[in-house]
Amino acid sequence: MADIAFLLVIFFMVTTAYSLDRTPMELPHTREQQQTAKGAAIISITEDGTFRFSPGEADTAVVNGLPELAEAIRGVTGGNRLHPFVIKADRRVKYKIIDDVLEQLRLAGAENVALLSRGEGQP
Amino acid sequence: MKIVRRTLPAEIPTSSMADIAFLLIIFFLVASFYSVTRGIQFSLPKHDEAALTAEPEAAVLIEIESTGALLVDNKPMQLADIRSYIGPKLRQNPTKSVILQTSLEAPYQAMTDVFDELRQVGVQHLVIPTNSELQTYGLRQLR
Repeated sequence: MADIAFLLVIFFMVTTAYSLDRTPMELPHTREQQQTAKGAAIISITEDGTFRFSPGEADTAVVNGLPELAEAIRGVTGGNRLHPFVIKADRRVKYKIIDDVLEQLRLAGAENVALLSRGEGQP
Repeated sequence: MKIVRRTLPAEIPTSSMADIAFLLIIFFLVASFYSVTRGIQFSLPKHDEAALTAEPEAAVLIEIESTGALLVDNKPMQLADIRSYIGPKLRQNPTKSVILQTSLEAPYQAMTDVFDELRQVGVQHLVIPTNSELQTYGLRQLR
Protein backbone atom coordinates (compact mmCIF):
# COMPACT_ATOMS: atom_id res chain seq x y z
CA MET A 1 0.00 0.00 0.00
CA ALA A 2 2.66 2.51 1.04
CA ASP A 3 4.69 1.49 -2.01
CA ILE A 4 1.85 2.33 -4.35
CA ALA A 5 1.23 5.58 -2.51
CA PHE A 6 4.88 6.60 -2.89
CA LEU A 7 4.81 5.68 -6.54
CA LEU A 8 1.86 8.03 -6.98
CA VAL A 9 3.68 10.74 -5.01
CA ILE A 10 6.65 10.48 -7.37
CA PHE A 11 4.30 10.56 -10.37
CA PHE A 12 2.56 13.73 -9.24
CA MET A 13 5.84 15.35 -8.25
CA VAL A 14 7.22 14.82 -11.73
CA THR A 15 4.11 15.87 -13.63
CA THR A 16 3.24 18.92 -11.53
CA ALA A 17 4.61 21.96 -13.27
CA TYR A 18 5.03 24.65 -10.70
CA SER A 19 3.87 28.01 -11.89
CA LEU A 20 6.80 30.33 -11.45
CA ASP A 21 4.62 33.36 -11.71
CA ARG A 22 1.86 33.69 -9.20
CA THR A 23 0.81 37.20 -10.16
CA PRO A 24 -2.98 37.24 -10.10
CA MET A 25 -4.49 38.39 -13.38
CA GLU A 26 -7.30 37.68 -15.79
CA LEU A 27 -5.93 35.58 -18.61
CA PRO A 28 -7.60 35.72 -22.02
CA HIS A 29 -10.04 32.91 -22.73
CA THR A 30 -9.41 30.58 -25.65
CA ARG A 31 -10.91 27.30 -26.76
CA GLU A 32 -7.64 26.07 -28.24
CA GLN A 33 -5.26 24.95 -25.51
CA GLN A 34 -1.88 23.29 -25.64
CA GLN A 35 0.48 22.41 -22.87
CA THR A 36 3.29 24.93 -22.77
CA ALA A 37 6.89 23.76 -22.58
CA LYS A 38 8.32 23.05 -19.17
CA GLY A 39 11.10 25.36 -18.05
CA ALA A 40 9.99 28.11 -20.42
CA ALA A 41 11.00 31.69 -19.70
CA ILE A 42 8.00 33.63 -18.47
CA ILE A 43 7.11 37.20 -19.36
CA SER A 44 4.25 38.32 -17.19
CA ILE A 45 2.38 41.54 -17.95
CA THR A 46 -0.23 42.87 -15.56
CA GLU A 47 -3.04 45.25 -16.40
CA ASP A 48 -1.05 48.31 -15.26
CA GLY A 49 1.76 47.41 -17.66
CA THR A 50 4.23 46.03 -15.11
CA PHE A 51 6.63 43.47 -16.56
CA ARG A 52 7.83 40.47 -14.62
CA PHE A 53 10.40 38.06 -16.02
CA SER A 54 11.74 34.65 -15.17
CA PRO A 55 14.34 32.79 -17.26
CA GLY A 56 12.63 29.51 -16.40
CA GLU A 57 14.08 28.30 -13.13
CA ALA A 58 13.54 31.03 -10.56
CA ASP A 59 10.36 32.84 -9.66
CA THR A 60 9.47 35.93 -11.67
CA ALA A 61 10.89 39.27 -10.63
CA VAL A 62 9.73 42.76 -11.54
CA VAL A 63 11.57 44.29 -14.49
CA ASN A 64 11.85 48.05 -14.94
CA GLY A 65 10.44 48.87 -18.31
CA LEU A 66 10.95 47.50 -21.79
CA PRO A 67 14.74 48.04 -22.17
CA GLU A 68 15.46 45.92 -19.12
CA LEU A 69 13.05 43.26 -20.33
CA ALA A 70 14.76 43.25 -23.72
CA GLU A 71 18.09 42.76 -21.96
CA ALA A 72 16.70 39.82 -19.99
CA ILE A 73 15.26 38.25 -23.16
CA ARG A 74 18.60 38.56 -24.94
CA GLY A 75 20.26 36.94 -21.93
CA VAL A 76 18.12 33.86 -22.50
CA THR A 77 18.22 33.69 -26.30
CA GLY A 78 21.99 34.29 -26.28
CA GLY A 79 22.44 30.83 -24.77
CA ASN A 80 19.74 29.03 -26.71
CA ARG A 81 17.61 30.53 -29.47
CA LEU A 82 15.06 27.75 -29.21
CA HIS A 83 14.43 28.37 -25.53
CA PRO A 84 10.65 28.53 -25.14
CA PHE A 85 8.96 31.73 -23.97
CA VAL A 86 5.57 32.11 -22.40
CA ILE A 87 3.72 35.41 -22.43
CA LYS A 88 1.32 35.63 -19.52
CA ALA A 89 -0.60 38.81 -20.02
CA ASP A 90 -3.80 40.24 -18.64
CA ARG A 91 -6.63 40.17 -21.18
CA ARG A 92 -7.35 43.90 -20.66
CA VAL A 93 -3.81 44.98 -21.47
CA LYS A 94 -3.44 47.17 -24.57
CA TYR A 95 -2.12 45.31 -27.61
CA LYS A 96 0.67 47.90 -27.92
CA ILE A 97 2.45 46.34 -24.93
CA ILE A 98 2.17 42.84 -26.41
CA ASP A 99 3.38 44.21 -29.74
CA ASP A 100 6.44 45.76 -28.05
CA VAL A 101 7.25 42.49 -26.28
CA LEU A 102 6.81 40.46 -29.48
CA GLU A 103 9.10 42.91 -31.24
CA GLN A 104 11.78 42.43 -28.57
CA LEU A 105 11.39 38.65 -28.82
CA ARG A 106 11.74 38.84 -32.59
CA LEU A 107 14.83 41.04 -32.35
CA ALA A 108 16.38 38.66 -29.83
CA GLY A 109 15.71 35.79 -32.25
CA ALA A 110 13.28 33.85 -30.07
CA GLU A 111 11.32 31.33 -32.08
CA ASN A 112 9.19 29.43 -29.66
CA VAL A 113 6.54 31.60 -28.05
CA ALA A 114 3.27 30.70 -26.38
CA LEU A 115 0.48 32.91 -25.10
CA LEU A 116 -0.87 31.71 -21.80
CA SER A 117 -4.65 31.47 -21.70
CA ARG A 118 -7.47 29.99 -19.77
CA GLY A 119 -9.66 27.37 -21.41
CA GLU A 120 -13.38 27.93 -21.85
CA GLY A 121 -15.34 26.67 -18.88
CA GLN A 122 -12.37 26.73 -16.55
CA PRO A 123 -12.59 28.88 -13.41
CA MET B 1 22.78 -7.64 40.84
CA LYS B 2 21.54 -8.83 37.53
CA ILE B 3 21.48 -6.27 34.74
CA VAL B 4 18.44 -6.60 32.60
CA ARG B 5 19.18 -5.88 28.97
CA ARG B 6 16.33 -4.58 27.02
CA THR B 7 16.37 -5.66 23.42
CA LEU B 8 15.12 -2.93 21.14
CA PRO B 9 13.10 -4.10 18.17
CA ALA B 10 15.29 -3.78 15.05
CA GLU B 11 12.56 -2.34 12.84
CA ILE B 12 11.72 1.06 11.51
CA PRO B 13 8.16 2.00 12.37
CA THR B 14 6.45 2.41 9.02
CA SER B 15 2.84 2.55 10.05
CA SER B 16 2.60 6.33 9.54
CA MET B 17 4.41 6.24 6.20
CA ALA B 18 1.24 5.56 4.22
CA ASP B 19 -0.48 8.48 5.91
CA ILE B 20 2.31 10.86 4.97
CA ALA B 21 2.39 9.50 1.43
CA PHE B 22 -1.33 10.00 1.00
CA LEU B 23 -1.06 13.52 2.33
CA LEU B 24 1.60 14.24 -0.28
CA ILE B 25 -0.56 12.70 -2.99
CA ILE B 26 -3.43 15.00 -2.11
CA PHE B 27 -1.06 17.97 -2.10
CA PHE B 28 0.34 17.27 -5.56
CA LEU B 29 -3.09 16.44 -6.94
CA VAL B 30 -4.39 19.82 -5.86
CA ALA B 31 -1.22 21.63 -6.94
CA SER B 32 -1.35 20.15 -10.45
CA PHE B 33 -4.98 21.19 -10.77
CA TYR B 34 -4.22 24.81 -9.95
CA SER B 35 -1.12 25.44 -12.04
CA VAL B 36 -1.97 27.32 -15.22
CA THR B 37 0.44 26.10 -17.84
CA ARG B 38 -1.69 25.92 -20.93
CA GLY B 39 -2.09 28.36 -23.77
CA ILE B 40 -1.88 28.89 -27.50
CA GLN B 41 1.43 28.24 -29.13
CA PHE B 42 2.94 29.97 -32.10
CA SER B 43 6.38 30.23 -33.52
CA LEU B 44 7.93 33.52 -34.46
CA PRO B 45 9.46 33.09 -37.87
CA LYS B 46 12.98 34.41 -38.37
CA HIS B 47 12.09 36.30 -41.53
CA ASP B 48 8.53 36.56 -42.67
CA GLU B 49 9.36 39.04 -45.37
CA ALA B 50 8.03 36.60 -47.96
CA ALA B 51 4.67 36.31 -46.27
CA LEU B 52 4.45 40.03 -45.52
CA THR B 53 5.21 41.07 -49.03
CA ALA B 54 3.11 38.31 -50.56
CA GLU B 55 0.53 39.31 -53.13
CA PRO B 56 -2.57 40.66 -51.43
CA GLU B 57 -4.64 37.89 -53.03
CA ALA B 58 -2.28 35.23 -51.73
CA ALA B 59 -2.86 35.96 -48.09
CA VAL B 60 -5.91 36.79 -46.04
CA LEU B 61 -5.45 40.04 -44.16
CA ILE B 62 -7.31 40.34 -40.89
CA GLU B 63 -7.26 43.69 -39.16
CA ILE B 64 -8.49 44.28 -35.65
CA GLU B 65 -9.46 47.86 -35.00
CA SER B 66 -9.11 49.63 -31.68
CA THR B 67 -12.80 49.03 -30.96
CA GLY B 68 -12.31 45.31 -31.53
CA ALA B 69 -14.15 45.40 -34.87
CA LEU B 70 -12.76 43.15 -37.57
CA LEU B 71 -11.82 43.92 -41.15
CA VAL B 72 -11.13 40.82 -43.21
CA ASP B 73 -9.62 41.70 -46.57
CA ASN B 74 -10.99 45.23 -46.01
CA LYS B 75 -14.53 43.98 -45.45
CA PRO B 76 -16.16 44.30 -42.02
CA MET B 77 -16.90 40.90 -40.57
CA GLN B 78 -18.04 39.26 -37.36
CA LEU B 79 -15.75 36.88 -35.50
CA ALA B 80 -18.19 34.01 -36.07
CA ASP B 81 -18.11 34.55 -39.86
CA ILE B 82 -14.34 34.09 -40.15
CA ARG B 83 -14.71 30.33 -40.22
CA SER B 84 -17.02 30.31 -43.23
CA TYR B 85 -14.81 32.85 -45.01
CA ILE B 86 -11.44 31.18 -44.48
CA GLY B 87 -12.59 27.55 -44.43
CA PRO B 88 -13.16 27.24 -48.22
CA LYS B 89 -9.88 29.07 -48.92
CA LEU B 90 -8.02 26.62 -46.70
CA ARG B 91 -9.59 23.63 -48.43
CA GLN B 92 -8.28 24.95 -51.74
CA ASN B 93 -4.86 25.76 -50.34
CA PRO B 94 -4.06 24.29 -46.91
CA THR B 95 -0.93 26.43 -46.60
CA LYS B 96 -2.78 29.71 -47.14
CA SER B 97 -1.17 32.52 -45.17
CA VAL B 98 -3.19 34.68 -42.85
CA ILE B 99 -1.81 38.01 -41.68
CA LEU B 100 -3.17 39.20 -38.36
CA GLN B 101 -2.74 42.90 -37.76
CA THR B 102 -3.98 44.35 -34.51
CA SER B 103 -4.49 47.99 -33.62
CA LEU B 104 -2.16 49.07 -30.83
CA GLU B 105 -5.11 50.40 -28.89
CA ALA B 106 -7.12 47.19 -29.05
CA PRO B 107 -7.31 45.01 -25.93
CA TYR B 108 -5.22 41.86 -25.87
CA GLN B 109 -8.35 39.70 -25.61
CA ALA B 110 -9.52 40.91 -29.03
CA MET B 111 -6.31 39.56 -30.57
CA THR B 112 -6.43 36.21 -28.76
CA ASP B 113 -10.10 35.74 -29.75
CA VAL B 114 -9.19 35.99 -33.43
CA PHE B 115 -6.02 33.95 -32.93
CA ASP B 116 -8.07 31.24 -31.23
CA GLU B 117 -10.67 31.25 -34.00
CA LEU B 118 -7.96 30.94 -36.67
CA ARG B 119 -6.44 27.99 -34.81
CA GLN B 120 -9.85 26.34 -34.66
CA VAL B 121 -10.26 26.76 -38.41
CA GLY B 122 -6.85 25.16 -38.88
CA VAL B 123 -4.72 27.99 -40.24
CA GLN B 124 -1.10 26.82 -40.28
CA HIS B 125 0.60 29.89 -41.69
CA LEU B 126 -0.30 32.68 -39.36
CA VAL B 127 1.76 35.84 -39.56
CA ILE B 128 1.60 38.36 -36.74
CA PRO B 129 3.68 41.31 -37.87
CA THR B 130 4.83 43.69 -35.16
CA ASN B 131 4.39 47.40 -35.65
CA SER B 132 8.04 48.09 -36.40
CA GLU B 133 8.05 45.31 -39.01
CA LEU B 134 5.15 47.05 -40.70
CA GLN B 135 7.17 50.26 -40.66
CA THR B 136 10.20 48.48 -42.08
CA TYR B 137 8.22 47.06 -44.98
CA GLY B 138 6.23 50.24 -45.45
CA LEU B 139 2.89 48.64 -44.80
CA ARG B 140 -0.17 50.36 -43.49
CA GLN B 141 -0.30 50.57 -39.74
CA LEU B 142 -3.39 50.48 -37.64
CA ARG B 143 -3.85 53.23 -35.17
